[in-house]
Amino acid sequence: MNLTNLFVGQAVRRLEAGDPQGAIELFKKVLGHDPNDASVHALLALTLLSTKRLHAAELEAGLALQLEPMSGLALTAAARVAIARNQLSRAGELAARAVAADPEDAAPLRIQATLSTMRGQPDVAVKLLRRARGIEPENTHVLGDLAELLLGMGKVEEAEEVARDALSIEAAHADSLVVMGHVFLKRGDLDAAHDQAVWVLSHNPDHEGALHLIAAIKARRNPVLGLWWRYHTWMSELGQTGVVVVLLGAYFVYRVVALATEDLGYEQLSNGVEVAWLGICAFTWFGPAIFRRMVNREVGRVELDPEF
Amino acid sequence: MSSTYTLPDEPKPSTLSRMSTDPVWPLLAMMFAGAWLSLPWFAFNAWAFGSPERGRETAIALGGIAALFMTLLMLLSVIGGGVPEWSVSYLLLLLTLEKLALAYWLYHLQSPGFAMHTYFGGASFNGLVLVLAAGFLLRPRVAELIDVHVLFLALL
Repeated sequence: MNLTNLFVGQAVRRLEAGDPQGAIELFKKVLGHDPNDASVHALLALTLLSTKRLHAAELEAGLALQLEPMSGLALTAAARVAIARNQLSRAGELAARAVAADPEDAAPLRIQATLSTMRGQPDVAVKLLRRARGIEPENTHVLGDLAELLLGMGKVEEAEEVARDALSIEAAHADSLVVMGHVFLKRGDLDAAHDQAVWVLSHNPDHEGALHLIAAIKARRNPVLGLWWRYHTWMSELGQTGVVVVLLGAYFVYRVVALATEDLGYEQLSNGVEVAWLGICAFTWFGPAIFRRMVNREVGRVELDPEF
Repeated sequence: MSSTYTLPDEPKPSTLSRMSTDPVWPLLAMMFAGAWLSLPWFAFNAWAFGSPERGRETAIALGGIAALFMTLLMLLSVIGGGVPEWSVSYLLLLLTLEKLALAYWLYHLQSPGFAMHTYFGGASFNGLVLVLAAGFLLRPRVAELIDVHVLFLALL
């Protein structure tokens, strides 16, 4: 095994252990030695994307494609970047090229499934993931995607079955544990759901799915935090531009109401509007910090059910 | 394997980097002090910590100042055209919304780059004192400029 393969292997292990920054440093070392390795550029692009460094990921994926325009990995990385940029037609074109380059690779099929889900065609996405599963039956990423999708479609039993399959292959597969957590949550078993989330977070405190799960559990237990979480989830789904538009819209409505009540001589009502707005600001400003502290405290005193 | 490979969003140390700040401060500066501080501060910050999109951020900040003057001119012509007096404060809300939109836009553009800057141990300063000083001490002085010319309203 040459030094490049050794470093890339180490980087992939770091990634699997939930240490993307460590992986990035290793990929950088390899590229410092050989800047023309398209596969490493593509892997680096995918890792950067997982840490939301979109600008750098885009450039790395572009370099990978430039070096090897027909590489399935480079095309896959570029397609994932295009999805993150919300360039769905470009992502579709790149994924189709990746499938053509290697029809026996499950990765581009996962991308096509993601695109189908984003386009509101979950049935097509399920078919694509089942095809990917046929190609790579032990690929836990495919199984995790499928379980998550089925859960989203309300097919709880099927989702559980697929997640259990994934966990029989990789007992600590984070995404499948999260799906199982949601399955328990849907059945009202908050403690079992909690165990799944805490297990994942104790290994990777930034796992988005597990944070969503623990938030959903907290929301069931605490109505105030639950309200904040629902607001947060709704805002996250809007995207950055949507969030700014909603915030500005809310501010505009607040100002108009405050001005109108004052102009019409309803002094007390106007004061009430001001106080309510201040309350909303404080709630949305401190909500995330309070929530994060609660999660950290929870993860810090991990106590799993002995039978977990 | 000792050669280093630098990613485009990684900070390039500069003499200005210790004068950079978390973009939340220029955002708050827009709310408490005004565009006169916030927009140039965003532009300066982009160069201070070496934001990967500093050219774009500077263009938005400077273009934003021009856009604010344009909006104010437009509003003044509408107001001068004879709208009811009570509607003036509602119309001026549009200017406030434009300022907030610019500040949020720049904040979202700049935040990931600044996170990288701090991740790599880059120096920065806490902008709270500047926001408070500008909000309480300098803003009233800038507001006095409106008596000189109403167009200074665009910078508040």
